Order: sequence, then structure tokens, then C-alpha cells
Amino acid sequence: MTRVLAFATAPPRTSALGPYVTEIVAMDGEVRMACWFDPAGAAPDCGLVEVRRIAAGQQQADATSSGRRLRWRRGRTNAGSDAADPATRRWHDARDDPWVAHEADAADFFVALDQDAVYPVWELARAHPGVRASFGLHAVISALSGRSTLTDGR
Amino acid sequence: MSHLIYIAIGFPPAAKSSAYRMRAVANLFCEAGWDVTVVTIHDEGWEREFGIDPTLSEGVDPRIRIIRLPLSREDLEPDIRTYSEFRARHPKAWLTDLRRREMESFPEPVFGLWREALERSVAAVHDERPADLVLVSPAPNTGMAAAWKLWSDRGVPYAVDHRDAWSLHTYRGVESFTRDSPAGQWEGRIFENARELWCVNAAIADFYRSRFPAIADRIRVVENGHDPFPQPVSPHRPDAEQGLSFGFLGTSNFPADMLNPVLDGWRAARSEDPVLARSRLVFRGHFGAGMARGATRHVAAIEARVQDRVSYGGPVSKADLGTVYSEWDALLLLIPGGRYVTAGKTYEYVATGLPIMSAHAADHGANSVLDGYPLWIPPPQELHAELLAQSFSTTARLVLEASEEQRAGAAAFGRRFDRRTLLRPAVQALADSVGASDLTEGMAR
Repeated sequence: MTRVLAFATAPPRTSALGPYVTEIVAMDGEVRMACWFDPAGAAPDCGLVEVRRIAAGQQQADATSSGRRLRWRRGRTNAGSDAADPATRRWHDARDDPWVAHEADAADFFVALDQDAVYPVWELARAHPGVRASFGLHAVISALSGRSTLTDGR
Repeated sequence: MSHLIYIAIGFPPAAKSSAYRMRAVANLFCEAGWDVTVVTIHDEGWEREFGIDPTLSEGVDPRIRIIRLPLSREDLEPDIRTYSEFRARHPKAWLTDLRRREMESFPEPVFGLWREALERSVAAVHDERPADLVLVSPAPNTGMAAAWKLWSDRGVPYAVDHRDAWSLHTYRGVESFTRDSPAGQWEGRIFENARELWCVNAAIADFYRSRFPAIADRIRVVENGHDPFPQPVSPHRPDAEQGLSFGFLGTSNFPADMLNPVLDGWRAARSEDPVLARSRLVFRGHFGAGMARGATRHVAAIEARVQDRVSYGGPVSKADLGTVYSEWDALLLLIPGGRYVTAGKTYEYVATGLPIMSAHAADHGANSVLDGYPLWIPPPQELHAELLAQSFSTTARLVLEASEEQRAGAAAFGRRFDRRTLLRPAVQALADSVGASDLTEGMAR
């Protein structure tokens, strides 16, 4: 079973999602999506196993913290990140979301479904050696079928 | 045996319209007794763009040697782990910087950075087996730099089979750059020293004859034509009670805004014509490349009209073309540009023998191909919804009322444009021009 964790900052078009999810499922895969918008009706009947909205930073400020989350946060603080920057904010949102943390640990692929989701995926990939990360679901299919390769960071 | 180096970026199995012409040209040279080496990019490069269609490779003469360079579009790299932090955080700024670097290498965005690798590769092929001729088929135009350099360094003649144009913006019908610009200087030195310059229609050829009068006699029109369908198109009997199927098969290379009057016209026609009210409009083909596959504004516009029985069904492999066309009653020819554009799709549509409804500029190069086709609804004077609604209704009537004689005439008309028939004289003349042709019976097939 291949587990794909996809990220979207805007509702993906059904035609850009459905056929690829169907193909991944046919290849014994599962696709979950984390998003920054209300998922209700955003991806109907696309074959996604689960869709979750990532909580914005303030909503999860006091949430329980795992050791992993603390390590990520510390790492970013040391790097002097600017939390006002939208890319950084999205990364922090993803980093601090418990559902994302759980699914990220089990994932084989991280996928950015749009340009603004690239940076959170790039950071997640750095924190999870062994997980392949792509822009777009097509690259997952291509990698699974051996037509192209995605590096895994190890 | 003479040796041709054929710089054909887009050669099979690339799922691109260029693949058909490139395959036919390479095969014809091979059949003429030439040793042919194709220089293209590796399959992974196409995976990033429109993908590959392995069925396209089945018709490539096995004697042809293919060099697949490990070149890919950097902007379409899907592997996020390879991105710098700057690219991940600031994708627009990163892309701007990439385009600047590409233009520094060769004045062509997207492909300019491929110049050095192409030049090295073509020289290496020549070192291994000296070439008698180089043929380059842009775009990308960067490939021409490699042909020119081999001529400049080693004196190997070259010819250009330009499937589009460079200094002419064929869609807008205006000059893309001046002769004294960096691109203009490159174009001048490449074209003026070319053995031949092939253009796909007379309008583009006239533009270049005017721009480069000194080489006017070396400019040749070599039309695109079409290939036989792997599975023949079997038109079915239209059923007014069931409704008709209108189909578009192509790429979304037209501005998304062109779709709106077409979709509005379809809606208006359905509201007035009971047959069309039961009918459907299907779009197939490559809409968007790389990460944007299936996610273009065109698809969004189509999906917003699902209540009008409009749908997008994704790409079609070459092997399935005949089957898909057989499901439709009429074809929608929606192509951009004007008199400088003929579009390979026009030839393919004509080859189906199906009724064709034109939805493009009134003064369009496609008209020269379609003029005389018995089942053609010409374009309206303007792409307005009201006029296009009339076109849909007229096409529906044509579908239902066309006689067997008209359909037979349409099928016969399409056979005029067999790709190999159109290409053969050009290949033969070019081969003769380097004094090394050995035409065989195979070439006359």
C-alpha cells in the first residue's frame, strides 16, 4: 500500500485530481489531502481517503505538542524564520497540525497540488528522509510505474 | 551510405503533435537509403510535460538510431527535494531568474540553456560518424544553434524544417522581434546559411521570403498532412432522438477566453434546437502541461458547463484516435490565430470524413485546407456566441441531412493530405541537394 499525503492551498479542479487519484488507487495506493480551505464539496467523489483542513496557527497555538513538533519549531526558530511570511505561516500551520504529523509519519509521498503548497512540502520532506516529494500527482504515478524517479533524501 | 543527423526534439514517444511529422521525415530519409541519427531528449523530459505515447514509437523505422539527451525543462521539475529553499519559498522570483539565465545562453526562453548540450551532442555524433546533412526541426529554436555550429565549425550543410515560425508570431500575425535584436541576429545567420527552410504553409513562407529575399528560392512549403488512423474511423448513423455528439480533440493552445463564446453559443443553440438540447459537447486532448495537467482555465470553463452536457475527457493516445472519432457525429475545430496558422489538427479532422464546424478567425490558414471539404461549416465572421449558436445548429442539420455521396466525398477529400505523400518530394529534393540520395522503392511506398 502506497500512502500519498497531498497538500492544497486552493480547491483543486476535479479534472486535475480525480483521474490521478483513481490511477494511484488502481496501483494499490491511498491519497489523503490536507488543505487550507473548507473542504466541503471541494473534491467530490475524487477517491480521496480523507480530506482535512489544516488549522490556522492561532487555533492550534495551545494544542498539545509532540516531541517532533517541538524539534521542528526549534529548528525554525534557530533559522530565524519570519512567521509573517505567508509561506512560513503555511509551513508552521502544517508542522503544528497533529493530523498532518500523524499522516506524515506514515506517508510514502508528499505532494504539493499548487504552487503555494510547495514550501510546506519542501520543509516536510526535509523533516522526513525517505519520503518522496513532488509537485503534482502525476509525478507519483510516473515514479510508481518506473517511468521517472523521485529522490527520497537518503 | 549518407548520414543524416536529425535534431528532432519532440520525436516519438513524445506525446506531442510534432512527433508525427518528425517520424515521417526520419522514416522517409531512412527509406531513401540514408543512415539516420535522431537527436532528441530523454523520455523523462516528456514525462514532465505532456507525457509519452509509446504507440507513436511503433511506426519508427528500427534502423533509425536515436540519441536521447538527459535534458528536461527545469521549470517543470516535479521533484521538490531537488528545489533550493529560494525556489520553494519564492517560486515566481526563481522563475524570473531562470528565464534570465536561459536568455543569456540563447535568445529563447525555456530552452536556451539546452544550447551547449545540444551543440556538444551533435558534434559528438558527427565525430563518431561524419554527417552529410543536418536537419533541425524547431521548436525549440535552440536546436538550430547546434546545426549552425556544426556547419560553422565543420562545414556540414543543414536545413531547417520549421513547424511554426520564429520571428513571426503566427497566432497574432505580427513580428516577434526585429532583425537587429539578439534573436533576430541568430535567426538571420541561421536561415541565410541553411540549405533549405521548410515552412508549413504559404503564408509563413511568404513572410520569410519577404524578410530574407536572398534565400527566397530556398524556402519551400511543406504541408503537414495526417497519418492513417491505427483504427479506422467508422462513422455511425446519427440519431436525432438520442442527440448528437460534438467533439473537440486537440491541445488547449488557444486562449481560454476563446472558449466562452463557444460555450455560450452551445448553450444558446441548445435552448432553441431540440436536437442539440439532447446533444453533448466533449473536449479531449492535452489540456495543460506538467503540474498543470487537467488544471487549466480551459478545463475550469468546461467543468462549469456540465449542465449543458459539456465535458472534458482527458488525453487520447494515438492508438485510440479512430475509436474516439468514431463516437462523434461532428467535430469542433477550435484553433487560435489567423492566416499564418493551419494547425496539424485541421488535417487530422479532414481525414476523419466527419462534418467539421470551424470556430476560429474568419481569415484563417485552416480555410485553405478545408476549402472544398463537402462537410464543412466555415467560421462565422466573428466569434460571437450568437453566430456560433447558428453554426452549431447548421452543423447539426448537416449531420442529420448529409447524403452518402457527401460523406464519401469528404472521406475522399481527406485522402489528399496523406502526410508521407506531402513530405516525400521535399525529402527527396533535400536529399538530392547534398548529392547523396539513394532513393529506393521503399520511399515510393
